[in-house]
Amino acid sequence: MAKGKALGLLMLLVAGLALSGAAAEVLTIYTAYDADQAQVYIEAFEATHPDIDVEWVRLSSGEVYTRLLAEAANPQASLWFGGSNTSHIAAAKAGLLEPYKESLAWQYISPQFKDPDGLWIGLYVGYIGFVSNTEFLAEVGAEAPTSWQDLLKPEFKGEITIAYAFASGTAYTTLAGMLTAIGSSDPGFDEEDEAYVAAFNEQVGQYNSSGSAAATMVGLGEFGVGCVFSHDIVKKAIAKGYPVVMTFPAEGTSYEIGGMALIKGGPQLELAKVFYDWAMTKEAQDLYEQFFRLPLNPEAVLAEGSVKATDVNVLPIDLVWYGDNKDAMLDEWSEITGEY
Amino acid sequence: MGDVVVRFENLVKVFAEGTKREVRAVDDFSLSIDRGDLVTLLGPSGCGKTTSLRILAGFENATTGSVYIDEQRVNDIPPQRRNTAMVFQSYGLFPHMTVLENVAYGLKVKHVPKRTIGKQVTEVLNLVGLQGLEKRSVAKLSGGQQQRVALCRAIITEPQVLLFDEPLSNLDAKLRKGTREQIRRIQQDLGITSLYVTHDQAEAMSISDSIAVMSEGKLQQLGNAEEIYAKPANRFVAGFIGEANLIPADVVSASIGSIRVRMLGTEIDVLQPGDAFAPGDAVEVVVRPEAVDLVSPADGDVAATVGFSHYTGSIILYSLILAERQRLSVQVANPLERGFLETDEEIGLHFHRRSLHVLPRGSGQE
Amino acid sequence: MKLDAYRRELRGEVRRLVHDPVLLGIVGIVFLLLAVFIVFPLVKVIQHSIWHQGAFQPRYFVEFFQKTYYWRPLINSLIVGGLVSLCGTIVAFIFAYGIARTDIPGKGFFRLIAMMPIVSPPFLIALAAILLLGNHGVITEALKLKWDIYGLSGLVLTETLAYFPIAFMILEGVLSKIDPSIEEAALDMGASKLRTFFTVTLPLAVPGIASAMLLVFIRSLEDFGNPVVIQGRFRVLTVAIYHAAVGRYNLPLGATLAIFMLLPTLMIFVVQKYYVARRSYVTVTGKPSGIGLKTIEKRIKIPIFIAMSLLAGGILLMYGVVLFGSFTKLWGYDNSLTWANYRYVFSVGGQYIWDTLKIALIATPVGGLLSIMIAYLVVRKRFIGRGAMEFTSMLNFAVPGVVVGIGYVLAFNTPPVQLTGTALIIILVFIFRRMPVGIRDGIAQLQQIDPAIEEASSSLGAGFFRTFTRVTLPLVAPAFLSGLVYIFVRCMTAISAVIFVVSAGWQLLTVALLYEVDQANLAAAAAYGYVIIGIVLSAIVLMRFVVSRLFRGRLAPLGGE
Repeated sequence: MAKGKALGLLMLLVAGLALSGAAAEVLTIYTAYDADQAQVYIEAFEATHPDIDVEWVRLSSGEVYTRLLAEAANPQASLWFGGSNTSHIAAAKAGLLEPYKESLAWQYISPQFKDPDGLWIGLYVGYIGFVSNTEFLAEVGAEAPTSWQDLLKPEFKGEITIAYAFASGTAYTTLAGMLTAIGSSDPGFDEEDEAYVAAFNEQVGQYNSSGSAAATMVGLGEFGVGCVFSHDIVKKAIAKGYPVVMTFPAEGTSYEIGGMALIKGGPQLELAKVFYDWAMTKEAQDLYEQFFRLPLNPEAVLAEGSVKATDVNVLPIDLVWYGDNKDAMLDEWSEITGEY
Repeated sequence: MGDVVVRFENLVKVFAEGTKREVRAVDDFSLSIDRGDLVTLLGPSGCGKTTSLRILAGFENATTGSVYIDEQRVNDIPPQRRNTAMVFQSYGLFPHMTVLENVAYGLKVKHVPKRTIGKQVTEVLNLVGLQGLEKRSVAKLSGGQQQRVALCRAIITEPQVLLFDEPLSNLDAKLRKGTREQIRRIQQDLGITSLYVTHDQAEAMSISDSIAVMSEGKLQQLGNAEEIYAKPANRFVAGFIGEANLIPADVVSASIGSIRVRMLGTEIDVLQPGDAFAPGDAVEVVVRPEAVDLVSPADGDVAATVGFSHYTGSIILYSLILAERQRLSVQVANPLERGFLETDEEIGLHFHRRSLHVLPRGSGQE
Repeated sequence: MKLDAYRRELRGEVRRLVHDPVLLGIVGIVFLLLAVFIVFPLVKVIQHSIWHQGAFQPRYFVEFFQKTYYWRPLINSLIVGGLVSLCGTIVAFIFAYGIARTDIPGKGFFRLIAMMPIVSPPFLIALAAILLLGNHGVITEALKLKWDIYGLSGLVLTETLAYFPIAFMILEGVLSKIDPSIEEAALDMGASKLRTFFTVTLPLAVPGIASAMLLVFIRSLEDFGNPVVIQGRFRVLTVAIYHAAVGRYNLPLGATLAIFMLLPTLMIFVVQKYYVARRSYVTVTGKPSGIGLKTIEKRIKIPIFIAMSLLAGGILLMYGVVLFGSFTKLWGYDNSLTWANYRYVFSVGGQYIWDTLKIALIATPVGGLLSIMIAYLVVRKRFIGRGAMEFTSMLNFAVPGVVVGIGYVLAFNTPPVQLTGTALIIILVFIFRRMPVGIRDGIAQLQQIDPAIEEASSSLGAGFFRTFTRVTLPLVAPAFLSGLVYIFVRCMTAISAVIFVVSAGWQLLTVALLYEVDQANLAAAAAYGYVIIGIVLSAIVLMRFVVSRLFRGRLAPLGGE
């Protein structure tokens, strides 16, 4: 009998402990950066802002978008930090973002890197590249792909890995690049685009949820070729010493603007603005150097080995259009690939 | 006799087995129990006695009919709020508690203060001879001791009705006799109204104020031990209680004090009130095996030949063959003194006139 | 006549319930909980599949049959399920027969191996499969294999190993409970051992085999973790539902797919429970006889022993390679040993460990108590709606985790009951997801108690609550506490339902593990895996210790013997 009471008390104690939590100022954010990178940025912020405790969830940019849709009635987070801005544009169109033109950065960022209504702002730029495992290439006796058409070569069948277009900004940006490079460069699917995407789908061995995973998988030799942002290829494969080579399509490659936005109705918007302002400072953007991203703050440092606009051919992609029409594009992509 | 404490009124219990079969476990059962009496429900398994007991306790619910305790209808009251206490066949002791904790359980429920509990427990344990065992874990007791603890646990709560569900079945035969006497003694001393269930007729007959014989859900006869044995109401009771020979006969004449019947080729005057019978009625005569003397063929009412015999020490049971292939079991006490009969020996039967009992023929179960 | 009696019985039950307010209260609360947290989410799933934006619109139902890529995953799932149930049952039968019916050495070891997949996240095996047999795997490289593990073969391999323990537990029980005198009678009449096996032993075991196959089938159908890792382009329905709901926020599509997932699992559940389970031929006395005929012929024993050893070796190899991988710097490329991965798990994942433990430690006792309470009501009490209560609480047996997940998202995203983003919703998923097992175990435990003991308590005036806490619980305590460990383990290793309801505030270790796999950080994933295993094993050992201390030598069965 006494044992029963003791047990009951113990359980109550555990429950009590569990539900208690320190009552500091808490800012909840969604980030599309990989967890280890996000940790670096966020810890840097917390170091300079000790009174703010950041709780963050890592989701790919497409997943952040759907999460905001799901939580529209009751947003759980206040800031969207990172990820291809096509998702930000789609979210802006769906009325999920909060405008913020008052930040200092607003002044110096050029118009092509921010939303005219202040609903999102650009943090960095990135270019899509191809990463290939050199041992694999030697085995099958192929050259690294240097054009979008190269990806359809029979040697690469089942050896390509890329993320789901709906989940990852990387993959959606890649898709936008494909649609622009193949057939007419008008935005959207034309007949040649459909044929290409269908053929490309046959080449894919595995789809992932996270865009940069392809770099690691190719580095490990699980797959032969991947389509990933160049900063991720450098950071996750080349800098690690994997046997890989990075190439770019000659026709021109796709690019992303990494974006940031305030979430409409978020519970801690004032704190979010603090983070927002900080993320655009030189100190914050200097952090991109170790990850080979190209910061949009003109005073920030550029990393050695990072791929700049002058290094590649860039396609004239109408990112705003692709952002606005993301849902329709993804539907069509699902139809063609059979993945959803 | 005093006032009525328990009343079963037209109790019916139907068990549905799935959606197909229905079993009528209790069929229009009515019974009253007077204050301070020990009434036994006696019958073979499946006769409805245990079901009726459990309905009174509240562990089963009546299909139709009512149960009254002190004239209050208790059908819808859950078992814990009826003023009954039950002694179970498997004792139902709490294995994780000591003797003291088991016995005190009912008092704790009533929030009796600790000091009083201690005294009362000691008192009641004394009654059954288990004093000093308060701290023992019940798992370490013998079967007999466990049964007595179960009894103490029930009576300490001073219930209005004490219920016994075949409490002695799990005990060794030797223990049964002593324990049942102890139960009866305590019940009488404390004057607790009790309902007792058993299939053992010797048990029932030795401790009950009255016995309700049941079969197939129905009450066959209610009476004390002597009434049931000497004057069974029908064939079933006659056969269930003790041994019985049932001899077909016809009534020759009937008067206030006796009935003349023609049976086995001779006429016998049975000393039994005859107002219910008329000349020519077909009857059966209940002849108990001990109600016959074996004499020489010339001196007997009828003649017979010895068939086979069973010798069990204190008695010998003869199966006798009579005219028209009628058989009769006769019991003779102390054959060592009286002598043994041989198979095929010719013998005469003399019937004890007062011990015979006449039943209308075809008086099956009610 | 029968209807009359039934109606009267019903009215009687209602009246009696009204007279026992404590029982009434508890029954009411339980029904409310079941309605809100089991039935309501399912209703929402059905609703969203056919009712969209205020109109009756079963769009996806129609499209389901038209578009290959909608129905293909269902077919794939069924194919995988069929193969896994077949292979899993065969593997389990070999183990069960070896352990229950032969005298091979090392039975304790084999039994341990057979239970290993239960204490680890099931998709750890998929990770191991990639490490060993992936395109760059250890065995692939060593033997120069051309086998693509991603896809059907990978799914069948991993799910077979992950779920055969379930079949094993059933089959071991069945094989050891067959009355030996039946087989002895056959031998006595001249049948050879082989003939006896095929004409007596096997047929008696058939209901058990059927049960095992059906249950493994369900588990394979609802598997989420393994397919996410290793399905490749062979898409199965669970992942499709997840992508539709979480990836595209296309809830009507997700709900529709969920219905198509629910239909086969419900059917199989019903078949198993009401058809197969009723036809058990072995004597189920609850006491395994253990003294069956032991096969000692070498020509049977040796192949079985070899097969078991190979299988055990394979399983050990898998867990071993994951353990090894958790210590490597760069799996497959730089195999130098390092603690870096564990440092990573405890730093980045430190909060996850804490969160997961907090949630599991709340869900476990609450779920356990609720389960035993319901088991008690169902077994011991008679009240109106008892059958409905039993059925509803067992429903989650048949409902796949992803369906529960999407149901909770649909049900608790908006008022009146808005729980998204909280720990509570995760706790609720854990409690109600695991309840059927807890209830079934609770029922078994309660049936071991002589009903007279509880009736005695009532007879002495104790109401429901006192009887339950002072008499019933202490008697089932050892088994109950052991059962709690099982709930805790399932909380620590669950993925398919909870992945829908994790949020910013509350993350779980299993979700973090999957993330690392998705990122191809296999070493980090392996480290997460072993942290989970470590926690689970500690809990098991701790509980064993606690139970043996608290209940030293007590509670021998009493009376009635």
